[in-house]
Amino acid sequence: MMGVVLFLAVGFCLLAFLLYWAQRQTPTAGRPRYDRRAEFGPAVLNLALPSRQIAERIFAAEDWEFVLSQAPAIRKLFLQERKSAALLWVHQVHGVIAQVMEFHRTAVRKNANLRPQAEIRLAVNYLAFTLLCGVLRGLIWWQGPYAARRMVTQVAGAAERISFATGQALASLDPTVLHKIKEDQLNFAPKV
Amino acid sequence: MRTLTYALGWTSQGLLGLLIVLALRGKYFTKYPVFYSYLSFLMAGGLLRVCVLTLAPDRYLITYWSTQLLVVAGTYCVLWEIYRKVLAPFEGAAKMASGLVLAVFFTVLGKTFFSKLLAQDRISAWVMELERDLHTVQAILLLLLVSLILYYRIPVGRNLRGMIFGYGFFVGASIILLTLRSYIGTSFQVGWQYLQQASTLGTFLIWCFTLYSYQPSPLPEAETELERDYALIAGRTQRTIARARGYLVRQLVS
Repeated sequence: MMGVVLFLAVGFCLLAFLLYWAQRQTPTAGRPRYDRRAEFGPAVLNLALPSRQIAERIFAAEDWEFVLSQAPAIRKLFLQERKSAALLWVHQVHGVIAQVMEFHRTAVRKNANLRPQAEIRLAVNYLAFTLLCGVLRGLIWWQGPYAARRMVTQVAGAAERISFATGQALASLDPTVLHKIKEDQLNFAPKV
Repeated sequence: MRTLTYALGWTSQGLLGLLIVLALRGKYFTKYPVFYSYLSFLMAGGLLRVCVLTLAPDRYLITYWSTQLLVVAGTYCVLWEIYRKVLAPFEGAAKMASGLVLAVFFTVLGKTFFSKLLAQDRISAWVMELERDLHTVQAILLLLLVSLILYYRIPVGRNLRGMIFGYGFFVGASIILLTLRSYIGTSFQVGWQYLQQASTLGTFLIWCFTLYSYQPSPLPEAETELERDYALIAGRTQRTIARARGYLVRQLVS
């Protein structure tokens, strides 16, 4: 019986996955030149993570204690606003790291020196990071921003380390290459 | 009931013929040589089966099962061509695929053949279960391919997308129907035949809608200095994310 369920699961899983893929948009018309660097290059190069100070301010227990002691009437409103700010912060942190990963995947897909084991490890680590952010969002949504304070510090630290390492890697490039990256950034940056 | 079988069979043959004629007229038969050779083989095999069903219906089942393993083997060749066409411009993704495909292939296929060799079922049950197992391996390989396409944002044109969809639909439906046939038994034989024919027809329709003209996949950008140097960046990014995750986990546990 278990085998039957397993085989049926594989069959339905494949059909469902194909349907999921069908709904995603990918370029198919004509024979376009395909370059995704323009979409995220500037953001990745800027590595604009929300600052740790902002996170500490959002999740600072002192503010909550102050409201509880001096203005208890507005505690519900205060919690609501802080929850929104906290969720936005998590969203932004995850968004930047997601862009780093996006850039990484697009850049290494043509690189023959790619190491499958390293790619799998990276994918698993990123998945774990994403799950951690999901848990954090859940905690914030369910129990408020102050229940998740310690986890916030850890997420902020992890994101900063990814950002720093990527910046270091870019800085270690040949100056001509770095100059080209900066030129690309100027060319592809959104015009205001 | 036999009329329905003939109707489905001849409609499938007609669609197969249409696919081959369109490819010959559009001069893209040689762009996907394995795929169209497989379709030609399917057409020839289908005509043989229809002839046997008409002239010697008592020999139909033997003819069907003896040719079916060849058909399944042919689908592996088609899968190989799809992998090659999709991943050829992306050496990194292709390298990922080759390692994972070998692991899946030898582990699952080896186990399948070994367990089938030890089994003592009737030949038709044996072939049916072997076909189901082979299709399951194909399903895993297809899931792997689509995962790589999604993960590495690999652009896929209408033709290859249609091949993958049609092929995936056929494999998924075959696994489900063969499993049910194997589990329920001969009472499901007639239902299985019609549903299998219908799924084959559906596959050919998908291919007709997506392979009516030649449309290759978009070309990737020529390699730049940034991408050549990205082996360095990729290694550092990987180590950093792994350290960050490890740090998070240690802090959570402590």
